[in-house]
Amino acid sequence: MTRRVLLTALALLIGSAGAGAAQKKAPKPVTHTVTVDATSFQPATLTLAAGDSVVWVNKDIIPHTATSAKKGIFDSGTIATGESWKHTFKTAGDLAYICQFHPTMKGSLKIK
Amino acid sequence: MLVKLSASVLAGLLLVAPAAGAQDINDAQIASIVVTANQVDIDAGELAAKMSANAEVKKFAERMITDHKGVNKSAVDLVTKLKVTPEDNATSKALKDGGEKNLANLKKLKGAAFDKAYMDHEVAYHTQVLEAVDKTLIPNAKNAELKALLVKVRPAFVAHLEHAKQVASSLKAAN
Repeated sequence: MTRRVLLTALALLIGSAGAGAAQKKAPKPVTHTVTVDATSFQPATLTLAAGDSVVWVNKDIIPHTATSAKKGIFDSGTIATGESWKHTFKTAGDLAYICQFHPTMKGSLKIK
Repeated sequence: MLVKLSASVLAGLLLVAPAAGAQDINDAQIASIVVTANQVDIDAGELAAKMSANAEVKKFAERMITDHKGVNKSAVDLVTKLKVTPEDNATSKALKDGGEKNLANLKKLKGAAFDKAYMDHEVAYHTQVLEAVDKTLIPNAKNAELKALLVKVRPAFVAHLEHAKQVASSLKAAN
């Protein structure tokens, strides 16, 4: 119990210190759009900052998904024609993703 | 040199020939081919979704139903807007006949034999449809929106073909 409180306090300290340093540099979180059309993700590669969001907009005539290639990181489920799905990415790293229905559709996110 | 030249000219002629032969196809006929091609695959998918006990085959069949219905809805919406009445032709009739023969054949089969026949046919069918899209439908479509629709759906057919190949080979590996 005490250990958990200590750890939480430590995490908060580190977190606020990190945020303080980052606040000057990092602009406000941005929402990026990936258009899903013609059985493809446009743009196929998107660079964003940690904390930014991505909204996938399905302009195609068939349903698609945006699903991380590595299981369990993110999965939109079915995005029907005319619908969209938004997700916020908090951790930096490169993430490859596909459409579960059409695995020939490949995209990647470069989170800085 | 001379031999080389005539060989390349011949190759060029062979490539051009199929497209030239189909040049008299009009937008109303293209619309009929598109609607028929989708419907044939929806019908086969509905039979497979009902008949197959294999999860991968069922999943593929359901994807075919959803996607080809989506394409057909857009095709019908477009031809309605353009006031084009789909016109039956040799290609759409051949597709319809081929679809009926496939259904009749599949209805005689069960279990793994059904799955194999359905998936093998899906691989051949999507290969054939893609060839028609590339060599006949896109090059001959006159209306810009009809051409754009064909260009837009083409990658979905490529994805279906890859998916069909993958399921077909997984069936072979299991046997």
